[in-house]
Amino acid sequence: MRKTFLFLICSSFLFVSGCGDRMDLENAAFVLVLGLDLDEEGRLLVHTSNPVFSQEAEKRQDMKKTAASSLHNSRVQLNAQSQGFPAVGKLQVILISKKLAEQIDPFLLLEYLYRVAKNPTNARVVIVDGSIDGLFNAQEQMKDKPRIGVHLKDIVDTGFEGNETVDVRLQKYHYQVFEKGITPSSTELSYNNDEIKITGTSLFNSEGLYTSSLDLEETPLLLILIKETETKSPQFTFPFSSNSSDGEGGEGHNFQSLTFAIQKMKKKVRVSVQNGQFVFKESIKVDIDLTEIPTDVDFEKNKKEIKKAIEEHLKQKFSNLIKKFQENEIDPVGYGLYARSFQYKEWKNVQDDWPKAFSEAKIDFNIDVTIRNQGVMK
Amino acid sequence: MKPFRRRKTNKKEIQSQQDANIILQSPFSSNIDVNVYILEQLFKDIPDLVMRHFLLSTGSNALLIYMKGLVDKEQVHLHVLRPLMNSNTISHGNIESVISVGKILKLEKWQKAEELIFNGFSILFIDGVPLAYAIETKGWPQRAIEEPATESTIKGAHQGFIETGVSNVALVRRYIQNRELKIKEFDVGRRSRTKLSVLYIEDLVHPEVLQELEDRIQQIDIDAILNTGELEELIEDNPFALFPQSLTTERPDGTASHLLQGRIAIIVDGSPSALIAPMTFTSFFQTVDDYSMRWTVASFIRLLRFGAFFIAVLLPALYIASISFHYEIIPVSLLISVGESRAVVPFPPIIEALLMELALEMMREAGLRLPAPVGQTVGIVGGIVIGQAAVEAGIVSNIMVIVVSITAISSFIIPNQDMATHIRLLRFPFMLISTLFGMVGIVIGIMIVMAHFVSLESLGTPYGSPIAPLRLSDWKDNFIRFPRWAMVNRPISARTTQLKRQKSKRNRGDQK
Repeated sequence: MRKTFLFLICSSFLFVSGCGDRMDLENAAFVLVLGLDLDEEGRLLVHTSNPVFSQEAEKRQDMKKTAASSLHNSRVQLNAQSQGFPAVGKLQVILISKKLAEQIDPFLLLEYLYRVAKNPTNARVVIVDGSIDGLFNAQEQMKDKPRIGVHLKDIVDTGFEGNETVDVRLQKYHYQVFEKGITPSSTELSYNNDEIKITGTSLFNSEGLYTSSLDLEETPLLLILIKETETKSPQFTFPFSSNSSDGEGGEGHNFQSLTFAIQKMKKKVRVSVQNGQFVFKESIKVDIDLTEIPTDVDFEKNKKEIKKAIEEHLKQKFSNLIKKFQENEIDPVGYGLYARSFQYKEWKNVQDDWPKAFSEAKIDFNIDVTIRNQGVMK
Repeated sequence: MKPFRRRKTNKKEIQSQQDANIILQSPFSSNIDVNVYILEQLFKDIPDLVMRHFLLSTGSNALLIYMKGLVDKEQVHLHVLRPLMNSNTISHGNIESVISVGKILKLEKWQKAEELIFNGFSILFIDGVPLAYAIETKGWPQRAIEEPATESTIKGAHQGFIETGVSNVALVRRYIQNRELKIKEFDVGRRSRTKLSVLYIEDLVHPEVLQELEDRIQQIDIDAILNTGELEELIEDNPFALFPQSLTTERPDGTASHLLQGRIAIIVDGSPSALIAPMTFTSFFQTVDDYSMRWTVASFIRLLRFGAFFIAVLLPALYIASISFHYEIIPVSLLISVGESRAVVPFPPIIEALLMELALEMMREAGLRLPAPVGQTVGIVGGIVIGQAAVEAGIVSNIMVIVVSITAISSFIIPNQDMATHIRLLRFPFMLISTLFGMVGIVIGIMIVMAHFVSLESLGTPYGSPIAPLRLSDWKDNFIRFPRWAMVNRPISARTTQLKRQKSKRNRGDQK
């Protein structure tokens, strides 16, 4: 009898404790998109969007904005507006307006997301060219698109698959901010009333402020340098005409271009220091498939010429890219990591201002192209 | 209320059980009239006892008694009564040579006679002889041997046990025609005198395990045992266990297979199933069909069953935990569709889940006990309840219907009915604990079940074997079934005394 009594009391404890952090899914307001912007007076604007599950509601998503002193402070205010409890656990995309990123280091605002363990580390960091308010409004008008969270996630993911942008999520962004040998980069979006599209990659300087962007043609080059193209083959096109071609086409054949896709890549960086200047020797070995050759060019005859042209083209492109980096004193590739690995003594002297040292460094490209395939057509 | 009308109790010649016991212990009288008087006292109000007085050809009085319905009438008439009445050369010394029946016993005391009468024997008294002859004339109504409904196979044998113990033993013996297949018989139950036949193969079974089983059977002191399930509860190791510790099967070939692995089978007279012990947890996921199919197919199906085990126990709990606590683990597009279907449901997930699971269990139970034509109606009504109607009425969500259906199907592919019901039961505490504590609760629940699981024993042998204690050699016939030629040894889980099972001269695998 006493045992039974004791058992009953113990089992009643089972029901009074626990379930404190329980929140049924339909009661939560899942913040899928978080937007950070500045208003005209320079105050922080926090935008959120969460899906609405109720069938009675006409709108499928709930978009809110509030002015706040910090992200955490905004949560309190958003909570007051919200139907459900805001939950950031499924955050997909963090939008930061270019205007804000030019003035404030966005990392400082994201502090809250890193500190709470339940928050996700794989939300995509995206810079928006324009105001977040405008983006939200434009998206809401798009009838043929899914909810903004899913829509933006799909755009960014396909962008990364298609070599249009870098894949930077909260965790990687954190790494890039804290690592001395690299400067942050992120996806860049722009929008108009009909569509939202990826425009390339945003680059930040060592203070975390937005400095410049890479367009859709430059981004694949960056991806090659950071070896993130392994499963997808980036394609490059440039105008080409052969010296030994019959000349039938004559001039005005600008649309005759040569396109190739990089299939396999091997990259090696050698670092040396000469007179206090870092010298990086990049040797890149690529296997390519030719996907487009001008019709008047005979591949068999001009094989060597084509190979050389491609090598020259790539070298030129890479050099221009590096020049752009050096002018802006940024190092999104992470040459600093190589410098630290191979020239630690020298690195120690410059580690606190690596982008400056990088801007004075010399980078040589040695590109070796192997044409593996020229298509099924003869 | 008026009390029962007081009746004058019939005067009983035998006042109490003690008096009867005294008579039962006493020998027969040589005077047939005294015997008749005693019979009338002992078998009062038992109208199906037939007492046939007749004259032997020698002129002496004789009496044949038997229970109507328990004997084979033809046999009594043709092979007992007719020769006794017609034979000219009869004397009480050569009774056995006159009666053309296989088994005749000479009895001296009433007790044995009483026991044998109820067992279908005919008892012959002859005036002037202080003995009785018990003639085996058993013959009671029997069901035909047919395929067991709960354990049908595709390629295996289609014979099942019936309610007669003797036939069941014979069915097993047809598979193991070996002198080493021994049988120990016990009579259990003071009133029912149920005959238990303990079958084992003497040079395979571990003597300690056998002794343990015998001890437990001998300790039973009960009025009646009517079926195998009752016996199982009386001899199992842990009465509070979450899993069945011994297997009941209706298949003679399955029984033979277990005997050959060094296990023990108990056949209960009057019950169409054999009890097999000691068992291990994983043996409940094996069927006879596994061995008649090729090993690749059998292995796949076994893995499917173990997968189904985890689904049946954990899926509703995992669903509840993930939508109440850990929505982060759901992919975003699924999250939205779950949210949309949950939004219309007014109940918390646990109520929703309990509603559906209980409806399903009720339907299963209703369908089980009802005759087939009514059972169909249950199916149709159930299809409406656990289906679109419940969703459209906004009582449950779409996803919950899917979860419950998958759980139900998973629990139905567990081949053993006992195990399947225990698994179905186990998922309710898991659902409860996941509502309260989420995934942490589920993990703790799994830990508790695991701790319980490894501590279980079946007849003193570890139940968790070959998983815990780890016995890698037994894994050849565990989650996957190795080809028969690779299983040279018997499983050591049953503590068999003779390990070697085969010594094939044929080449192994693809060796030439």
